[in-house]
Amino acid sequence: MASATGGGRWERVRKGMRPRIREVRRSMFLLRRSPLAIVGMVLILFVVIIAVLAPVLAPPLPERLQPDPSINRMDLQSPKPPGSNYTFQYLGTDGQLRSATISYPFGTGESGEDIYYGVIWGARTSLMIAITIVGIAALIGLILGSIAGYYGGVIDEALMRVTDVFLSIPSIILALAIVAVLTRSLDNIVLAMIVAWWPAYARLVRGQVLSIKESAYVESARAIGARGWRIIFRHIMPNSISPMLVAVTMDMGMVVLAAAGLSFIGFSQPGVCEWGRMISAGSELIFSQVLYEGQVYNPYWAWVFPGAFIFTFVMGFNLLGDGLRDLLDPRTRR
Amino acid sequence: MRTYIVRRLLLLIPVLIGISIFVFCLTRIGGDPAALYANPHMTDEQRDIIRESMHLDDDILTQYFYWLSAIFRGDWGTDPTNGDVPVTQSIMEFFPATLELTIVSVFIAVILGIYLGTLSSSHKDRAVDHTTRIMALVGVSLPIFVMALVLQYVFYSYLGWLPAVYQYDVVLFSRYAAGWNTYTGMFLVDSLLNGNLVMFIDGVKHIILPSLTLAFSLVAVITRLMRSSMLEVMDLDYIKAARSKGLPERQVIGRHARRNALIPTATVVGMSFGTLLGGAVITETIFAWPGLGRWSTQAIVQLATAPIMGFVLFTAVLIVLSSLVVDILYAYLDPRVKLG
Repeated sequence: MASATGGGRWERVRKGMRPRIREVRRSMFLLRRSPLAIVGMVLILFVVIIAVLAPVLAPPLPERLQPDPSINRMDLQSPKPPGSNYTFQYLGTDGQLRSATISYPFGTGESGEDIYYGVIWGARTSLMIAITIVGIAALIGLILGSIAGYYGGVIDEALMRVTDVFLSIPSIILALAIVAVLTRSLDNIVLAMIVAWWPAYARLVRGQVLSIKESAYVESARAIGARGWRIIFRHIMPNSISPMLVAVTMDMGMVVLAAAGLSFIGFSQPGVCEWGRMISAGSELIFSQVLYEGQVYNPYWAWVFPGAFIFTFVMGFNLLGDGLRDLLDPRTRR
Repeated sequence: MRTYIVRRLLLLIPVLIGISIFVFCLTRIGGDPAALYANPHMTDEQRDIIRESMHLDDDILTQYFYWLSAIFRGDWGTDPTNGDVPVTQSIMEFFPATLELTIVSVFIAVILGIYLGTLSSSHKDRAVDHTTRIMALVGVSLPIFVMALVLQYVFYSYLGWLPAVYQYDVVLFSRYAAGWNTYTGMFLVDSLLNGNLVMFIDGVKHIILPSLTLAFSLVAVITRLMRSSMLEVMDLDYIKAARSKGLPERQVIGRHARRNALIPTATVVGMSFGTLLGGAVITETIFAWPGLGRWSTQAIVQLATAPIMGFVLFTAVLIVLSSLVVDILYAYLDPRVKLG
């Protein structure tokens, strides 16, 4: 008996989902015709594949292992110092700066660390921080924005004043101020960025909710006696999601850019596989000349490779976001 | 108009209070607030005197009011990165360089952005348009510090055309700048006021790379905006009217379309001063530009909290005030803006 009701319920859910599925299919079709969005998706896929396959593409090599004295007990599968979520770069065994060779495809940095290794594992770090920051900030924004927009009044007024303050300061300066009083670590950069990022989402959702709140279907839901929470979660949130989707996609890139900026100016942990920090380390070599195997080099590889990867990552999300915006904007859609 | 300005000023008050609360909270989170004023050479008694003078044993609300009154008196703590002078004095010392860099960057970005945006819209869906759009996307996707490194690598290390760091050549300065007076702190302006053409040219050479770096992402934003608002305007009836009365295309675009498309761009430019101040932190650090941004990163490296809080407070207030000015100017420029 219970299973029969469950089945009936499932049937109803499926029926309810049908128009949405059709809508998603149609969107996918339109997206496929936008060449720039396709390029964006390919770039994102490229980074995701690198991140997933990092242990295969750049396995930690025990013979190169001379761990940073500050990083104890390295795990061979993925060298993370205790208490950290992020992989760390090996320091080279010889402290030799070298240009690209077979065993070091992207050359080595100042203390002989393998740039290729750092860049590959850096993809994982970037994806992790982007998903964490954007995910949590968007969730906070979605919840607070919906409540403020739906209930209005004092709650709304209070939230708007708080977001006014946050939005009046550029997010990178806001985040800078927050990490400055905490200890230096990538986790604190992530924390500061979440604090700096949620108000923009809250404002976006609130605006959407305000315009949807008066629509006929919300009115009829209210007329049949649906409660506030049900209306917010079942009717308002699903229908206000599309501008949010564009913002989230764009921000995946922007957040990584800003986090890299913060770690560039010195908030990151030394040794972590993170592109911004690697570029920062490489930039200190920009005026130097190194003698390696009889030739003089300017060690550009130490910043060019992580720079190229961060660019790929951000460009991918920007292209996809641009494509999604054209797609979801009803004026340009059909 | 006057009621609009008054209303706008009243709206400013909660924001300013909010900013002060935010910065105050940060100074209390980050360990002992007395450390802001202390330096390593102090004895324990001296520290106790500081604690007492800051009312650190009172409740938090009292602390806030004492802190706020200190801020209003201009007592923002001391700056260990700059020989323990007051933070306010450091800000006055480093701000002109940042302002100069920001003005030059906005100037470059506006000229380039408007030109490229117009070009892109009048050649819609042709090669020029696609190139400009891709360039604009690159502009927002490339990290500002990578852009800076590329410019330094190409123009300094590889071609050797332009200097890579600092505001002027120190050797040249010691040779040619006898009797130099600092009037404004902005190097280009000062060199002109001193009538020193050698240093002016040297200053121009030094400002090119950092200002291009800073302008790069803004150019991208302005180009995209200019393109879309031009396309919107070009569909309107008065453009058709201008065309049908036989005006040459140049005049239709330059006189009629561009002027109206400029309005949204003007707002973005006004707002971007703030973003540029944020971007300046990184740019100034790479180019060793002696402005607020580099000052604050030095404070970060030396773990000096007072200058960082001073920097945040100063930039936040500056941005809030500049957006006020932009709003008022905007209402003044565009009579269609509903005042109220």
